[in-house]
Amino acid sequence: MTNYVGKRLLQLIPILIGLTFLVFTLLYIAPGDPAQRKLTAQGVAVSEQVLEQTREEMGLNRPFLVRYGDWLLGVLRGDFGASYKDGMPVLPKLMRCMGNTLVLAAGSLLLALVVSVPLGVLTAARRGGVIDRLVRLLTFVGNAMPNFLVSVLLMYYLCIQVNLFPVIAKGTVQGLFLPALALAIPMASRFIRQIRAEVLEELGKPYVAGALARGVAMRTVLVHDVLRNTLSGVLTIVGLSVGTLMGGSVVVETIFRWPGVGQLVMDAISARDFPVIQGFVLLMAVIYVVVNLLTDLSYRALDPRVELE
Amino acid sequence: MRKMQKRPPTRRARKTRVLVFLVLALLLMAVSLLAPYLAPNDPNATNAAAQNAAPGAAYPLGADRYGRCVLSRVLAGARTSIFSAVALVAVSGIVGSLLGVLCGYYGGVLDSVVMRLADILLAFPQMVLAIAVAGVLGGGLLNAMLALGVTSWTLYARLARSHTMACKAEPFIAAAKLSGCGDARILLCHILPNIAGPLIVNAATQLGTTMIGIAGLSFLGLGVVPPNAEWGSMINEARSYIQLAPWTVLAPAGATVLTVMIFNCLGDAVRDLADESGVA
Amino acid sequence: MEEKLLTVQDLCVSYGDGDVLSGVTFSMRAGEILCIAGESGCGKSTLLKAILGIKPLGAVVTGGRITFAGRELHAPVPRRLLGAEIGMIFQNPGASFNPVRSYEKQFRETLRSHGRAYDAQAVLDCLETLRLPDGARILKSCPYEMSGGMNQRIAIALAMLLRPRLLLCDEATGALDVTTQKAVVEELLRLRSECGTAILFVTHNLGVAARMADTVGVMYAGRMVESGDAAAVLQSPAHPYTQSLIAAVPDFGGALPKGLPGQPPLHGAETPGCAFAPRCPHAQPGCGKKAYTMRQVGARHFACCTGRV
Repeated sequence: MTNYVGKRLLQLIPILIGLTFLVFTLLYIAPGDPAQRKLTAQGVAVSEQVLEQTREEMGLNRPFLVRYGDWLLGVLRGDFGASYKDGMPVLPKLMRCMGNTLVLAAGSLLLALVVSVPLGVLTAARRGGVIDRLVRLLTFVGNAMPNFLVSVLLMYYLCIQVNLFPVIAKGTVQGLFLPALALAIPMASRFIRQIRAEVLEELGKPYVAGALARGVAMRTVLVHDVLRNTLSGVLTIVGLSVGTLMGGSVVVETIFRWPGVGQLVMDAISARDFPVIQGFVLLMAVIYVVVNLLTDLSYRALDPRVELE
Repeated sequence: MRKMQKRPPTRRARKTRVLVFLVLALLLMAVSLLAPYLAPNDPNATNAAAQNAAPGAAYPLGADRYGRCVLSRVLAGARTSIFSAVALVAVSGIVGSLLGVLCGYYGGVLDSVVMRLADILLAFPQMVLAIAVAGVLGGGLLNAMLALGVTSWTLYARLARSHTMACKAEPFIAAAKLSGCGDARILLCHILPNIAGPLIVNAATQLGTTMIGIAGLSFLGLGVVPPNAEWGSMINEARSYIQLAPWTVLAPAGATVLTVMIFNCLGDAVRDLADESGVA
Repeated sequence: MEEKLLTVQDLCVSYGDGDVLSGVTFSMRAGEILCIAGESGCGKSTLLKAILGIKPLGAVVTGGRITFAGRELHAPVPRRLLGAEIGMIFQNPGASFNPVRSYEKQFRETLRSHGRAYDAQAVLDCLETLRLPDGARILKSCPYEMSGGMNQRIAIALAMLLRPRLLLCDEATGALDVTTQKAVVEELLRLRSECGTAILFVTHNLGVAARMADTVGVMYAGRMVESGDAAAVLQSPAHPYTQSLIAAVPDFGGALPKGLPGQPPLHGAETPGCAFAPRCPHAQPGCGKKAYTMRQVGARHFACCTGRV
């Protein structure tokens, strides 16, 4: 296992180098002069002299690769650069909001799993029944709903019509529920379908018939064998959805004004504050890579049959 | 007596299903193409007298806060929403597939470079990268499509590459070479038709998600910019007025859900058919 | 007339696509060993699946009745009967265990499902008699770590451990080497003599049938074509199919067995007349139209045809 982990970590190095390079390039794909952009973002009157000075400060006169190297070294030390807008370092800015985003992500994942694991198992066990058809119809609609639409509709019905929740989600538990639900609904729709398929596949295995023929109750088989065996599959599904979750949280945070990194980055986009956008992508991508690695490792850890090569 | 078990759907039933959803999808496209002729009003014409007007004779789905006809805007938006998704899927599918085929066929430096690039791009969460790229590039439909396209070609490239490599080893390719076919001819006439199945399946399943992606970017203000009609941006524009005029949100919302559902159904149907024929 | 343990009357079974068993009738006394012989695909296994009536096995009774210990069985068969009263050893019994769960847990679960205590010594003894020493180590391992033959014997052990009144065996000795086969056969015989278990043994191995059976049934294309006392059926077979089946058994030093030309029909159960007619050496023009009926051809010996018209 240790060997395998080491090997996987080594494989990550070129990916991370390429990833950081692309993220660095992001700053330069926008048309125009970065120095000018920085000054505009700060609201400084642009003169040729100030512009040249800023260029010098930003190191724009040096070759691209050298700048990348410098930036990467900074990133490795935790220096993601400074915001154009207020000159504050980007990483602490992101980290302040990161907690809220993680809480939102965890909350929505939990919500989605609490609903979709039992429903996924139930619909598979009662395949073709009334519940199965109803749930499949609902998941079908849920699957076709973009996050922003779910958010807007939830807000309309639960906050305005029923007046159940506050419209603007402060970073409180009460405020967490709606944004988490908005993220969880499309996610749960996907999970239910995937878990149902996993469980159906597992139910088709001969050991299920074997256990039933020995007089073991279906419920026992479902909980002790089928659910246990599909756990690694469920874990993979969750791992794969983390990327979607990150994108979705930007949308949902913006709508509910949830003070997470998503809202921060949308504010940065409207302020053309590029280092913050850059830091956000880098942070998210690194987290995504790590989550994928962990998913893969735990998948292997859960199924003793998978050989660790 | 015990109930008879359901038989698995036959190949014919699966074909019919694909056909039904294909017709529905084409119908949607036809509606969006004919939008200017179908729309009862000018989608951008404002009318101060009809601000937030409820659905009625003049405005079948009501009017928004500028008094613009919601139905006409939904129809006009269909063009943007549906065609941008279809175009993005087509372009990224073709570019990705061609790259994948070339990588699989020639291997070498090209293969390493393209595939490593694909690996790196796949390490990003797609929507996060798209938001950042669109955010840096600034709004606009083309930029939004570009932002989503940055990652979406990788799936096709990987698929096409692995299938090309498998196909390259088949005896009929060797036979074609011996009979004097050039590389271009082999790639276009022998390999591409043989590996098209899984690529088409992938494209079909991507339609729905791509539409959601474009609508999401537009909703965030990173895609289509008002006053141009697009469902995502319409919902964003109207959501503050949802209390006064719920139809301004519900109409584009319904259109989005319906279209994505049809696209998803088409994708599922195509995949099921391909699974059964052993194409994918 | 003495009490029958199992009565099968005019049984028709389908997998949802036309009947694969048609009009099968037989009965078993307590403690009787009935071997059902026939080529692959003749419906032997289907018969066992229909008796068990477990949904995942897919066999659906479309006509006729099954009576066990005086009560008619309907799917789903009550759970308390399965395993404890009616045991089943599958064709590939190893696959009847969850591959990634220890045997001990699965043994416990099965016994607990019938309200029985887990007696470690009894389990070890049972394994021992099936040539499985080192039972303690076996119980701690998972099925995926064991060889197919081991798995098979362990499954047989568990089926026997419950001491059912009727044991259904589907080619239970198929994948075993000759010595182990012998041990299994002896163990089954001992189970019968000690617990009075009736055994319905489905096999294409006529040697095993001759060794174990009190009565023998021969099936062809979803129908019972001959049945009766083992000695009568095996030594003076009446039906042309049984005759050719016995002629096809290789014997030591003898001539090559006489193979049977042609293939059994796929949907023989649906043909009105004799499904064997196309391959029958005694076939007459009228054979394809005769209705199927079993006739007495000797003392406790029945056949649907004797080759003489």
